[in-house]
Amino acid sequence: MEKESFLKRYGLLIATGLVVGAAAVLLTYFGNPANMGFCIACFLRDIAGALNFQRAGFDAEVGTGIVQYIRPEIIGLVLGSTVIAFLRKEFKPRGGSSPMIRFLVAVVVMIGALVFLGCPLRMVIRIGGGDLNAVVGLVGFVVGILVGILVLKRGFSLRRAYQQSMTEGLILPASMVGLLVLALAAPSFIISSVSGPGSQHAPILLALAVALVVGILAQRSRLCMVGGIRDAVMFQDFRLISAFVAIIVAVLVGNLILGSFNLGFEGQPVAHTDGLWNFLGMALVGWGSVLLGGCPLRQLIMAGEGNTDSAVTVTGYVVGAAVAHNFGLASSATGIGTGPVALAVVVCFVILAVVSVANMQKLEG
Amino acid sequence: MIDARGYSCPTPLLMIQKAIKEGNNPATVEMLVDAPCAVENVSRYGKKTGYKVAVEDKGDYTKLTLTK
Repeated sequence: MEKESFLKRYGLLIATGLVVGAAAVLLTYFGNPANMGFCIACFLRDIAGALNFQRAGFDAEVGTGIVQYIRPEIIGLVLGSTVIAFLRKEFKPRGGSSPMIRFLVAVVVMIGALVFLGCPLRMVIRIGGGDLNAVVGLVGFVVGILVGILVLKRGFSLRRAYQQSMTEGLILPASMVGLLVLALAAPSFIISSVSGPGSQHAPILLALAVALVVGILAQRSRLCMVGGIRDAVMFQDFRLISAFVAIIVAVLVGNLILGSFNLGFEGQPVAHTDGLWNFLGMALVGWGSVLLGGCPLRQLIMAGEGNTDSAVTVTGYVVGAAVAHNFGLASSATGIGTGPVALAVVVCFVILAVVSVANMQKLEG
Repeated sequence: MIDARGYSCPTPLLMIQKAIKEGNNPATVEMLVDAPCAVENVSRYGKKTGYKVAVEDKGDYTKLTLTK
């Protein structure tokens, strides 16, 4: 048996985790909403808002909602991945592995994330800030992943992907360039919240630069929140989960330095204390993300590498965010949404169950 | 020969696990993969289970040969 050195095995992942954690604290310090330095779900939702796909908390007096803003973090993550993938000859347009199923599951994952109020990355960042509601979310997340693993072990697969054209692979990265142009030019049809979380943001170029670095590291290390727990359980492989722990450590230390560590359930920034829905929301995210093969951050990175299935998934997240806000399913600091949350969550679980069972097949080999 | 081209992680890893288990630790397992993470994960798994792993870059995909 060959032994890999600890540094070779864990070095890049731990370094990536520390940088992601530090980046989250830094961006919060420079203006991003608290405990939200880097939230893929929240930021895609804000982009959906900027394009007026949703205008949650619309205030007629000021004319904007509270979560509308083109987040340069998303743009930077994707383009960082694209640049490094090209340099390392890993930009390979491929896709066609059940795109509509992926789209649907992505909608479900986003609804779950907005019931909880955060993607797996923000869950970890919230834990590092002392938010115990996120620990409840983590339990749900793990349970969801365990269900996903059972499904994988019974032969679940969304079938194979095929080579795609360069044009096909470049559409999502190119649309990120388009969003960047819109963010910089700030035409009047692009909405930027003047109150609420959407109005809180770090300077554009700082956010973009930090996200580019994180995108490059995440592409190289294949960082994935869902993969971390999945691989630890399925293969006793603890590489990805080491980054997960590193993020918590870095965020914790950062918050302690800045004096923003606040242990407890009550009064946590952009969070609610309803345990049941925190649990169920993240269970949807965990299960759905195992079916999709990675967390929202990982999907952005893979979309940057030319994976069009991930590009479809990212599109599904944006639509899911619009659905969650337009139908009152998304939670807020005051509690769960005012729409039919329970019904929607049940429907989402049914969708995941049907997708899981319908796609179990005998693996080759 | 296991053709795992087009499958993303962790499916290729599950396929090789199954092949090794069902073949009762065969002397040789050949596998085609194209996801970069699959090359790393399958190689690592092969080494962990006592195989020597040869990696051949075939352009659009990679051929992995595991031998005892």
